Amino acid sequence: MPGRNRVSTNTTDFENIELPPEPRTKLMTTSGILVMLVSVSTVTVLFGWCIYKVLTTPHEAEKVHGVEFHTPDMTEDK
Amino acid sequence: MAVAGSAVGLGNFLRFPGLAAQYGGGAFMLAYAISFLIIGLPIGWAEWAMGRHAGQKGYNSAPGAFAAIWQNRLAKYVGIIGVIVPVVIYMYYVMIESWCIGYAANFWSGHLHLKNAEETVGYFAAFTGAMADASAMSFSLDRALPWLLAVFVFNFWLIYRGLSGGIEKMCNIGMPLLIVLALVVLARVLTLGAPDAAKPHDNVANGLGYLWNPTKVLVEKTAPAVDDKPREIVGAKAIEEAKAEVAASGGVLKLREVGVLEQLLNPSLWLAAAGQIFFSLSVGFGVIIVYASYMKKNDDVVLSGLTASSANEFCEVGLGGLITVPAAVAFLGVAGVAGQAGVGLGFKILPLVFSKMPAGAFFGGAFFFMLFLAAVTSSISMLQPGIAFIEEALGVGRKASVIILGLLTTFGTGFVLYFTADLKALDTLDFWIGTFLIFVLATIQIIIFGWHWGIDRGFKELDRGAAFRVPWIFRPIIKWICPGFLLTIFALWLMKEILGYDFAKGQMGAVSGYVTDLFGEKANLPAQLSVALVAAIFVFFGLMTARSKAYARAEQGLDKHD
Repeated sequence: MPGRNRVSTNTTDFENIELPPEPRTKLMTTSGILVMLVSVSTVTVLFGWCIYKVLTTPHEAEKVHGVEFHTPDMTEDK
Repeated sequence: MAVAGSAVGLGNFLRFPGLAAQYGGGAFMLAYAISFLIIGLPIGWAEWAMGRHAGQKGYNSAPGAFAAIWQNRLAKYVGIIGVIVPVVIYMYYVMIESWCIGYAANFWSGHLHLKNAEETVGYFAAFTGAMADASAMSFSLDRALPWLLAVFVFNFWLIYRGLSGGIEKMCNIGMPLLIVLALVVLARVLTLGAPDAAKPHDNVANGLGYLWNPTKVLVEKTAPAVDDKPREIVGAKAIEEAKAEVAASGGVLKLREVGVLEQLLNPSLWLAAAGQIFFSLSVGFGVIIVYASYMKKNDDVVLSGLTASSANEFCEVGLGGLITVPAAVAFLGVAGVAGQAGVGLGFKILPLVFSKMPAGAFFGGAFFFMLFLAAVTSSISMLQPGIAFIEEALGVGRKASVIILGLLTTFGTGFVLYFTADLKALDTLDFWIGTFLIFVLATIQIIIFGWHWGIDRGFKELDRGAAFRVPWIFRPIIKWICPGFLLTIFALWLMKEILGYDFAKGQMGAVSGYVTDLFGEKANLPAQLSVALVAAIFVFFGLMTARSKAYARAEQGLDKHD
């Protein structure tokens, strides 16, 4: 990231100030990038596939449930 | 969308980044991914199937479901764990929920102008009362108490009046909005660079490296004392500087590269990774088994479980982890983040991200408000297992059950609110209940499903009404790999944390702080009282269970209403 370490773009004010060293980091290792890409893309594709499956399977939207708060005991107690 | 909305909670955006930071990133992510595939997903499916089966017999609580399926005198008492876990977690989860709405309101009212890490850490400590016991118990908008009272009453008002369906509909809009907001925040985080030009190593790219690089580089003492901890170094430039530091130390320090396999030998890392999978997927929690019991006979438990899990993982790995940990490294540096535990990390870091955004107060308020909505749905879902249990055990109606549970959780939350110094009570309960006991319950569940119920019967139950069949590979996973994996981690964890065996050195080392908090010279009173509180609740629920006629019928294999 060239210029990331600059204090200001106004060089006349700061030209004599010793700037901190450029962070020549290698940032992420190849295996780190691989782990990240595989993890993020896997969960994204999996989530997308689930939505696709719910939407394209007949009557599936009525058969798939999560945590739904209107439980039968609410009605029984009224 | 309802399934996805109900799956997303504070665990995704706040708890997960804290754990990833505590255990140092890459290796934790590998353990986490493996845990998801071989324990989270299969145990989740097992719980959905067992819950639906128990519901067909008329049982809607964990003790009822366990008794109906296991048909053993011990079953209903083991099932109490499935009530203890959500009820006790609610006691501190509602605290975190109140922090979210408090932060949202303070952002929107312009009271949150935090410019650096010192200010955010100080504000968080004052707001939550982490500085001293009872220090959050003040009626100030900059303290947790008023927000906690409002949130606690709001939750029980919704439950008592049967209005929680309304919040569910609100979340159907709110959760997609939370995801959009999270994407906006993610975009800002990834373009932060190094926020402090004087500290070029503290940048987002190094934060991504810290989170995802499987191999670590550590600076450590050549002859470390028990309390000495190594310092992690990320980035080539920082490593060069560390080499110079080591060379100048005259042999006191050394630089060591720790491979992924060595990190994966730490059983605590596996326990934390598995615990987070369980926590965020609500597996081994006692929640799924209760809600699945209300499903119809041919509803789809397989796709329900997979959709909830994948939505949750998308938010956790794709959003929560990518936002908080890299931003934390950018603002605090690797040394500041390493070892940061708990949900506090997000509250200390995200305000700094919003301070670097245009309309930051609006976005900050909106983000914490959406987190609050996500938390409300999760906290309400944690109350239903307790309500269903009291209804079934005592044979009372829902409103009476809500009142009894309300009194119990008021006491427990008051306890957590009082003992806030270093958030000790919250942290202790989160470890022993939110990690340890969940792990125990999940292990018991998969053994009952795979061995007592049997794989053939279990898969027949799973496949009924499903849009797709569970792949065959999950048969050996559920029967052998999953229980073997869980029992092995548990045994290794006991050896390391309870007995103090250091696997890396092959000798006795330090015992876990969670254990020394309870016994010996370093014993901590709030930690001891936290565990005593859980034990007292266990006895209370045990007495209720012992007297229940419904559970006696379940043990005999009878339907509840036969």
